[in-house]
Amino acid sequence: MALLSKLPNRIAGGSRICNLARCSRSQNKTNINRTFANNANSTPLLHTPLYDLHLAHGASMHPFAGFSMPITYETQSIIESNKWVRSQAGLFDVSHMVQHIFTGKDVTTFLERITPTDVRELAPYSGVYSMFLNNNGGIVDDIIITKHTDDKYYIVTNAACRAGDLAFLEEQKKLHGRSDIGHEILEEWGLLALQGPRAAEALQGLTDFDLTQLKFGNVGLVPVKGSKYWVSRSGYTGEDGFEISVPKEETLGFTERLLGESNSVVKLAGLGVRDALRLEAGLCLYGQDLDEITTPIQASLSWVVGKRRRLEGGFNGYEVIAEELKNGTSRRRVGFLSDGPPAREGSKIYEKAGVKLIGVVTSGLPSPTVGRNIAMGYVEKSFMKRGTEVLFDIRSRKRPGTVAKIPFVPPNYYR
Amino acid sequence: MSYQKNILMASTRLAAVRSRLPVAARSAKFVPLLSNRFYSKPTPKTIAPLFTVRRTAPSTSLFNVLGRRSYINSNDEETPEGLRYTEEHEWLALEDGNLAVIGITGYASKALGDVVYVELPSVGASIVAGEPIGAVESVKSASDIYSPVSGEIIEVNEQLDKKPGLVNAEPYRRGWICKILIKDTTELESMMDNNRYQTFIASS
Repeated sequence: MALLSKLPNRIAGGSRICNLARCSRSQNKTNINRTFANNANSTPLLHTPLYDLHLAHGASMHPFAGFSMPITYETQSIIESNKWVRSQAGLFDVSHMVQHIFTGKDVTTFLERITPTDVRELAPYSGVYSMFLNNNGGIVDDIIITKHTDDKYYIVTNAACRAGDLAFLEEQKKLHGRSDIGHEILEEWGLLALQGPRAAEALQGLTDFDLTQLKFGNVGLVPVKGSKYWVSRSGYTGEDGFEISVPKEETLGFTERLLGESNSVVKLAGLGVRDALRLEAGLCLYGQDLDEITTPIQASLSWVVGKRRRLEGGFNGYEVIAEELKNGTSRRRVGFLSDGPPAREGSKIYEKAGVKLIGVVTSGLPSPTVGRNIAMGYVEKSFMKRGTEVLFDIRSRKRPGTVAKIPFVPPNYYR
Repeated sequence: MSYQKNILMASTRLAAVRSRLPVAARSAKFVPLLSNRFYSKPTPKTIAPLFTVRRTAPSTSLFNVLGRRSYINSNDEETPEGLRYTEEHEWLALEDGNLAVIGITGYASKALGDVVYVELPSVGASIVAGEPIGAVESVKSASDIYSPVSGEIIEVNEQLDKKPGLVNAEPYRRGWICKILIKDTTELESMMDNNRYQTFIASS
């Protein structure tokens, strides 16, 4: 679990929503001419509070979810940055993500209606990976719910899902008579993800707050130079780390302090390496690995459904999910390892004789940490066993791969 | 809780990508990318037929990884003179008569990032201008390599199987992709010279 910062494998613009069941693209392909056409026709890109800092650090900026976001920085390649985050500390600007505050006496009940999480029993000042569900049990968005108190929650959702989420929340509030729930979005706030085995050391240098008190999933109000920021011990890389919510005006100053001297253990890391890190950690990207016709059970995320919730139900899509928990699903998300050319989003998966189509890859790339190609995708139930040999269709040629354990890189959380 | 963690080792293949070759290694076997007399007088009436073909191809290109930042002169390797370029960021050098060497440009290789796999065409294959003949894979993307010309693949750079990073380190020399026996040299006339290519990437 972690705060979900998401980025496209396809860095270019356009809709990333791929219907997993019907995805027919054989390759993960875009064309910059089309991308530019899209940009020309759409509204100007938004900037995070760190836009100028990214440019000053030689970032390659690309459109993502309506924002101009850093994909790489000129000082490190993606492979170098990957190794840096897994051994030192990387700082990601994830301010494009949507930070919500929900308040009111009925909030807990409302969140238990729209998510499968045991929100009631969630400890104060702790957060958990969850998802908004529709009535069919499909995933509207994957989110992090953080409870401050029983009547105040902080939730982070995906930037690319913003409009859909807001419409969904409005509709659900009306549907369930919860119109009095307070809902505020922290517009233009900064959200920073400091990730890596030396993240704690770097952040500890800026505060008197004893960070060893914060275990994975905990949040605390951490004083930093006259201000106090909500810091959660989480992230989306599989490493120890923090996500820090900072008011717009203070984001640049705080970031510069974190980056410190040029020989600091903290280096800026872009969304390009973030995609590799999250996939290595087996974490899903909404729009690629998850979508509205996929249930948490199909996505191999059944752990998200709380024990009490499985028995009591009372959330959107419960009937579908309970049935799937009992009888299984026709398709499941699994991991793959391969060598040679990597299977990427959209590659079709065949059984090893190469005739029968059994699924599709939803994310894939050459893993800098593993040193092999890693991928996730959905396959028919009978092919989900670890070690099953499959074939990927890559540029119209069939190439071998094997169903493998997720995550590909063991997590390094601070528990 | 220890904040130390060993760096997980990547494979030799990936590690090789990161290494930058010594300057001495740049003396490649076909080093003198000949300046090309052929191009000095492009025929004005020729209208690039191969780009017409290409725009209909529903495919990626080296384009898809380029951001708004300029990468001009970002590569350490000096750009040889006399090359011809495509809008898909391939370069072509005439080695001898109608034998051409092709590769991807320094601009493209920089934008791709660490190349970890190069898919090479088959020797002897007949190819058509504008059609994909291989691909370059980095962590973040796969990009097709399009042939700028029609003809036959005479030789491929097998070194790239073991050292795909040569495409980053020496895109114009040891990172060449393949050699093509050109069928119709008039196809060259639609390609850009260095000046036009520089203008093209500055405006894209």
